[in-house]
Amino acid sequence: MLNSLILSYTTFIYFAAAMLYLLMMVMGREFFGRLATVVSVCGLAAHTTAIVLRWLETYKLGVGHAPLSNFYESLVFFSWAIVLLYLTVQWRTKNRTLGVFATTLAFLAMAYASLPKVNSNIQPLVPALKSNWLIAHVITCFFGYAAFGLSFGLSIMYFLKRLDSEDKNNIFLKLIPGTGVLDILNYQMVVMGFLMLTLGIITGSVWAHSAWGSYWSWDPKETWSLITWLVYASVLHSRMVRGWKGKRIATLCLIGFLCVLFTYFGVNYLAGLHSYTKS
Amino acid sequence: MLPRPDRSKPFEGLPAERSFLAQADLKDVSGKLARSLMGRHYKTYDKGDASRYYLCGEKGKYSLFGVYLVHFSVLIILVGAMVGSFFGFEAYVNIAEGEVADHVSLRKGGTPLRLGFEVSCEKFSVDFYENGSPKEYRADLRFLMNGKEMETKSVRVNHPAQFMGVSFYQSSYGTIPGNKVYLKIVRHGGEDKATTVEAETGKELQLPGNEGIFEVTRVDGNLMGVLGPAAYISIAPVKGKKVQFWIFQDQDMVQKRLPEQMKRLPKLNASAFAPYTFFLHKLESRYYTGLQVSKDPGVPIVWTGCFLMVLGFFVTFFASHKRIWVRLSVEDTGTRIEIAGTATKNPVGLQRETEKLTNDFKKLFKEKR
Repeated sequence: MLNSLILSYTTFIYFAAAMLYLLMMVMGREFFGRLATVVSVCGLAAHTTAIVLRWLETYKLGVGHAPLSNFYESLVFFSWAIVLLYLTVQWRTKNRTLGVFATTLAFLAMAYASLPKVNSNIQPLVPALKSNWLIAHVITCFFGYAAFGLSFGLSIMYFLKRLDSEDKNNIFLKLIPGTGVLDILNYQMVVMGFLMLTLGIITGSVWAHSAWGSYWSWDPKETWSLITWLVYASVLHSRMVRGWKGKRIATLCLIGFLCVLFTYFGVNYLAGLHSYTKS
Repeated sequence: MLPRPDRSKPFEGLPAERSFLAQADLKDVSGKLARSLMGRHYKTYDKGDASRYYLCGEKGKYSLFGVYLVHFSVLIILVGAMVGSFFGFEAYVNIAEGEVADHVSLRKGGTPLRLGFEVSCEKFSVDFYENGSPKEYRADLRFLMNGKEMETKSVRVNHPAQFMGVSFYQSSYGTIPGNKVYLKIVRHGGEDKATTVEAETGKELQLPGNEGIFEVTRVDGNLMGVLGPAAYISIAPVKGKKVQFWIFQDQDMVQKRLPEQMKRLPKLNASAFAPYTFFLHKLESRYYTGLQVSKDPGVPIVWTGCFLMVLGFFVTFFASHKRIWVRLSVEDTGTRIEIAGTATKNPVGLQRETEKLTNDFKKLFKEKR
């Protein structure tokens, strides 16, 4: 189908963008950065088109639902949210260095989606998914994940930047913004991700209340989303109450993103109510 | 605590464009500025004398309470969860089509709980998509009080039904054998004669050759969990003892599974009563709906907590406590106005706000440097 074709091209576009951002960082040439941005924007446009096409195709198949209903579609949306969020951050901060990490993450998500074991067919919605809460729940959760993904990239950048010093002549490290800026940006990403994750958990609860008869069932995905939520809550508390900054915050953010990954992927190996997110 | 307006710290390193001279006396200036700040929803405080005067405008003080709101909301959610666990319950019940239930089994320990009313399942249906995956489960329920119908409601996944504060959720389904049993009875002898019979459990019927009466006494959808649909036939001949045996829908499978027993046990011999052989053609099956039944008076409290939490986040993370500091000092040619600002968040927004205020003030008094 056309949407899958465009999405597989998008995967390569993001790969190209990641390589161009890397080239900019290694060579220190602004030209590559600008080119990488153009490529990313094109990728996002193609990606958006494909998602809209896929949505339309579900109506042609007579099952009509938002393309947010299975594992494949969630990966596609995750990647889309990362790129959209990253380009917004780039536009606001006028700094492209996060691009290497953001587009790599987006590429990896798309590459995972194109693995043969991930079913890319449009499937009709099973009764449990037939709810208006589906869209709100998935969008909030994945924007949260995307923000945490960028926070992960910023935390790695923070540790890289610490390797930089006056006498070193590494272009890559020189191009990364100062640790103070990274820290503030990271905090903003965590705030956004935390808010989105909270909304995601709440919308999920409201939905579970009408679908399963209980707003909280200690399903593994619920439990792990709560663990993730608590880790990022500890990031915010340690920063606001204890005044933690820099290294300790960056470490907590790395742990937080590992929890996100486990909530997203790892939980699929445990039995639970979120079974439709597996294939 | 009221802010002390006569602080000099906010004015340290004030950029030149935030200071200008107004050709008016201090009293005139201070009045106009206070009104202007109040017009922009600032709460104002002042202090000073005829030569030096301080004015402070404050806005968004509530943002300092956002963080308390967030933590308070966590408490509310916990209270809601406790109310739910003390005054609510979670249970389940399976109701076959046409049957009535007046109690449910608690999830914890499976102890039965009387509902105080009855629920009956009129009909259960499953719809499938073309690819075979389920499209909709639907149970049509009837709620009765002392046998009198009060309400009918249908329950689908994501669309629960409520009756007297108890919610019913469609959660599973299955089939059980119904009352009807479709049999084929072959009478041997010379020429075999086959008769198909629609029997009902517990109802006596004549044998085709009138040698006695028979009855299907029991049916099982899957005998011993592996032998498939089965019916227990009991034959009372005109003379002689009763003959009883099981017949299976899939006789070959049972033969393969239990070859020895089939040979030995008359209880498994479909031809135990000569000259007849009984065949089980089909058991009528009925759906049952598996309902999750729950009552949770804590839910509205939990939702209130969730709402307050989100509200608290917005206040904590995005609202800013802004303060505008104005210092007026009398000079030879007029009154010097200095404008500074402090905020707990969003320094860029504060910058814009102070710039705007400065320009407004400059318009109020023709600027003169």
